[in-house]
Amino acid sequence: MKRSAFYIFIVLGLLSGVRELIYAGLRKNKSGEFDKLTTIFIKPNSYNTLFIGSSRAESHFVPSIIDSITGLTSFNAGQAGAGLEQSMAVLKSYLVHSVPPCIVVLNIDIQKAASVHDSVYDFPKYFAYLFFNKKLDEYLEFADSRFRCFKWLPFCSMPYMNDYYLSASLRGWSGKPNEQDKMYIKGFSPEYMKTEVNLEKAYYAAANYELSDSFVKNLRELMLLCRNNHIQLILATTPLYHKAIENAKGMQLMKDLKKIAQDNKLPFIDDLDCECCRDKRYFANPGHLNKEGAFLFSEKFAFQLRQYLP
Amino acid sequence: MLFNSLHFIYFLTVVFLLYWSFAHKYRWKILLAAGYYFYISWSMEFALVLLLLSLISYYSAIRLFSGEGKNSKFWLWLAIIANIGGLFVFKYLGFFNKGWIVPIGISYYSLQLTGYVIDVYRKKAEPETNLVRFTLFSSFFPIVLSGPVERFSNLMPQFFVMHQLTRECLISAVRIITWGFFKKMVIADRLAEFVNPVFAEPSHYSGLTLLVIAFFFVVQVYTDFSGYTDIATGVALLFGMKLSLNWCRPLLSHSLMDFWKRNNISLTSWFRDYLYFGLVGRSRSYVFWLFGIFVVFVVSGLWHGASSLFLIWGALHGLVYTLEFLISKKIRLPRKFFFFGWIYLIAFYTLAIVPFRAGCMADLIVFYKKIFSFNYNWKFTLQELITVHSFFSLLIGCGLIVFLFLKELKEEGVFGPATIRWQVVPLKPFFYVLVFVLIFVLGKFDANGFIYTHF
Repeated sequence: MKRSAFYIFIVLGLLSGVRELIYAGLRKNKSGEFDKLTTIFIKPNSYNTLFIGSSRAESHFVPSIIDSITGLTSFNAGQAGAGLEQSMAVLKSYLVHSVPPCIVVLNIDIQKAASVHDSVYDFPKYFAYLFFNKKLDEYLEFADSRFRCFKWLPFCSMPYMNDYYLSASLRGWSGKPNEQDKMYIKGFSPEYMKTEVNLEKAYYAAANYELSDSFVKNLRELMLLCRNNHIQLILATTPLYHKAIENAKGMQLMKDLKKIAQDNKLPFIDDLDCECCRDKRYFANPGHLNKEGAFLFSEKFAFQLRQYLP
Repeated sequence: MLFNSLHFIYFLTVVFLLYWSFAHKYRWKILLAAGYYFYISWSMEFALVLLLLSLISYYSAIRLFSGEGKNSKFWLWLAIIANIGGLFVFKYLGFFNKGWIVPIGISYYSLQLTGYVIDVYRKKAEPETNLVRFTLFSSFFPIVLSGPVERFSNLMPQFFVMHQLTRECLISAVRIITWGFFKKMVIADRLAEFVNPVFAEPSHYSGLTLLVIAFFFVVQVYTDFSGYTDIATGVALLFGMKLSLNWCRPLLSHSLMDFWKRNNISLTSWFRDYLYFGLVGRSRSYVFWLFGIFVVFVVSGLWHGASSLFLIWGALHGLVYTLEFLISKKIRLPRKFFFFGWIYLIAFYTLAIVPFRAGCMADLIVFYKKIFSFNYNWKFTLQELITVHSFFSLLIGCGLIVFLFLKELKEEGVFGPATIRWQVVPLKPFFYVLVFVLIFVLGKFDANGFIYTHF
């Protein structure tokens, strides 16, 4: 019995040790996705502008271009798959260690705004930060109750730590970034995967989309959070390939969004259907611009943003 | 419910606790209920097929044991036709009708039941007279999906012997299960990430890449199936049952004959005892022996599925085995040349496994054409392999293959005093602690199916 207990103890100790080594490696990354997460959740920052939202925020706003035009110092905190609730949690987590930014640009996904459910996409990437950011930990436990187990029990979290995380951890320890890591610039990461989707037959949104109650509730909460921290909140929509929103012209959802912005005196930069949306050369897939498209859009966006700066 | 699923872990825990908390006389009933629950979790219809074949085998064995002469033969053939015919019908109907589903595990339990009836006919076993007890023989959950194909005389008495849960037994079971999961989730499933895409489109890859991938598949299929058997053996041991040895480091064999003595032993010995000896009988004709060997391999190929590719695989093995058999009568390979024998075995087995995995005849031709073009470039192959998955995964995959061979060489006694060859020697406890941790670090937890449950 004693021997068995000894071996169980050894296994648990080793697993916990290995897990911590992997997590530490992830946090040691000096570039790439995990450097971005470390910046948001652990490092003290003083950026005056923060972009939040989903992968479309992440792959559309290029801080270096926007900064060069506006004179701001910005960071892209967009997270793939994030809905409004998660984006707000990212902002709250960011505020734990960093000075509140002057401006927060929220990229609104029309699909996410119409949806009731908001789940944490690609959740294992947050494991390494649970002990370092209370707000992140609170949100993840609230959004997904499994996080209680993920945080404490290596048996639960380790099965999700696949090769992607292992190799990222090794890169963190060795200090050698790969090509994908090098693509990240101040949180911006270009959409590099060309999907098989035929752009001409793409479908992204419909005219009958309506704002979900949960989205409206979260948006009000975000506005309050920003007001309390003296942050200017700016709402934005970014390009979708024009065919993908062909059926969504005059969408009620957009009218409602604009009304909310107007009522609350929030700037709303609507680029859902800007001129670059008509050129397929700028798209990696119907919902995401490619690198070239993102550079072009960021330049245009920077000029629009400049109008709202003091 | 797969062995490598959370559902199975819960199921096993409940059955284990129930089994050991009940009195001896109820334990086999718990195993029987667990067996049918496990099998029904796949399909109720499948369970009915299992029950029907068990009933036919049970009744036939009793009738043929009590009958004489012609009457006995009638019952023997009835059971054989029901079991093997059932297997044949299900597999071949599946070949002609793509929507047809083959009951999972039928390839194993039908052979097990046939073996039982033949044993009774040959007076090597006495029939079980209690029908309910008998149904446990074919539905014992650790082996019902993918074997090993157990003999009645080995397995059946163990169900009714009073077992004690000993520390040694528990430790051995945990060791075997851990190593089984490691082989499946860490080695086999990782290699599958390279094997599956390349076998799906072999025309996109160079000859050397195809050769490397064929070797990866050799290791994958071994670790996948032997991993399954290890888990089954360990799980059975948790209930005090000792299953027969099914694998004895076949990838260290020095000839094809040696390989088939070590590989999937329960199935190979089934074909030998019930098909080969049945075919050859008391014939003294040398040619007939060789013919018998060849037929057994062809049949064992077709046992995997109704496909010309399996036929080619079986025929290739049959041909080379008979050639080896002929040569071995004249020349015996000295022990010091075993290494060259091993090289030959790996080379042959790697090439011969291609039809086993190729998607169609055209793919097989592409494979062989490219491999035998001998237009090899290591650098290009490395690039191709990295594009299939990732350099990191390739590195780990190769490391794991080396680890597997080192472990098996150690068991074989290559690095130290010779151990008993036909025995799996447990290594130090810390080895299993390491293996357990590695499962969590490098394992694939997306519950991939086992290759041999498809057959």
